[in-house]
Amino acid sequence: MIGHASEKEGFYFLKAKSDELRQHGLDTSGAYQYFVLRAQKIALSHGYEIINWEETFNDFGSKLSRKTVVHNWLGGGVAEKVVAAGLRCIVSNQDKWYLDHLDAPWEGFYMNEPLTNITNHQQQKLILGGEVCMWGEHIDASDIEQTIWPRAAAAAERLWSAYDNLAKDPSQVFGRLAHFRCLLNQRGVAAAPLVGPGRVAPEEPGSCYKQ
Amino acid sequence: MGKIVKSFCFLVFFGVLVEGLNIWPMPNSVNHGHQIMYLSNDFALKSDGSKYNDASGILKDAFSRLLDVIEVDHVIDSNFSHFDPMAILHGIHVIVWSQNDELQYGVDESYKLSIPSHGTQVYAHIEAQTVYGVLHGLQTFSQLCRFNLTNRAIEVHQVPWYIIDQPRFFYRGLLIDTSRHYLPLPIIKNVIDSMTYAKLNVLHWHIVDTQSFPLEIPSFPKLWNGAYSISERYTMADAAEIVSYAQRRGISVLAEIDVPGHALSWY
Repeated sequence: MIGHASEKEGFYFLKAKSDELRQHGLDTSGAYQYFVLRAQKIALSHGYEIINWEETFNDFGSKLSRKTVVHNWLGGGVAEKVVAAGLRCIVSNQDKWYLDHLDAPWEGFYMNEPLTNITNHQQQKLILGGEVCMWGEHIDASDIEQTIWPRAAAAAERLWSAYDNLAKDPSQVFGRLAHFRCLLNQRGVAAAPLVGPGRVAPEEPGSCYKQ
Repeated sequence: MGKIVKSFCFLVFFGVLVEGLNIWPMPNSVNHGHQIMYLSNDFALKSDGSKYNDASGILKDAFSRLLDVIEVDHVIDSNFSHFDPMAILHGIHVIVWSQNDELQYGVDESYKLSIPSHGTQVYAHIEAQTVYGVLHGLQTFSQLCRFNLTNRAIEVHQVPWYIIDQPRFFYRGLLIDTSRHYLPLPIIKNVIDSMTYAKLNVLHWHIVDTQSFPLEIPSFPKLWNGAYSISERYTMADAAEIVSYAQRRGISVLAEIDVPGHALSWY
């Protein structure tokens, strides 16, 4: 079993309660830390694996349970710090792997390497993998598929395929990914063309395999 | 032989081949030939010698879905009497070594897929430690098949195939967010199905947030009053069905419930 908690938000909740907190000798950041560490203990006592968004690591990483999985999202360069501290990490740096960033192209999804700057073999094993994020502010049932695909597929190859099988230049896999995009369309999945930013409409009449 | 040449020209014409392969994501190790096999019109699943009894029907259902995605609604009306009987592929023979189909992080997802190039009563072979490895093998197999619009048969090109495959990372996730906008259950199921095509294996379901609380929590029955509307909600049974639907496709659901802060929808 796995629990995933959005603890950072506790901070904003606590701001509204700051007077009460002062009576207990806590400022807001102290209360936030207290809340997270207490929630971790409760989750662990029930046999859950715990995953925290990265803020808890950034703010008081040394105090987290050593069993914590840190879910990176703010940017690159975090995963290497997490595994250097001996914790496990899931990579979702928003600049490359947030699907709601419509200006993030498939090439960036393909080239985002979870083991960037991590050369120690033991530390590499602490990277569990990665995740692309389809946040829902600006999508709904009408366009979720074409916002996910084909860009999520580009990340899927990064996460599945052996490192030596990955293209060093994404243009080398354009044809094969375009073929997969057309395969998704044939199967009824509304995957968008590769040419252009996320979920773009086709530019011109033409073969699926060239768009 | 004429057919082989014709098919080859077709593919080159579209320029979609990279070193002759169109599998996504690229398997660990691939060897192939240059012949063609035709799928029998009674293409079947065989599991003699397998340790896995498929009491849950995961394998049987996956095979049924395989046929759907390789036929993709084409009418398969080829005249098999015109084909060389030695070039007919009769089905897939699956061997699973583990009886256990519990889906946990780190489960063995590796598989070997081989497709022979000729013979009598020939089957493709998929061998895996777990049924979840077989599911990936079936996905790879599906990408090797294509419907030939001239002879109206489903063909496997470039046989014989020998593929050995396993994931680089155990966690290959996609997050969906049902708080900012409610996603109807069929949409979530479609997303899960599409994930299997790309061998993603974790659906991180960000269920609730500041904007809405669509999930029923039986012990706190007022919580889902924070949903956008009476209909934009999931019962606990709905959520369990999504978890089961995903699990049968080799996908774990990582459920996320936000705690105070992103909780305006119910606080």
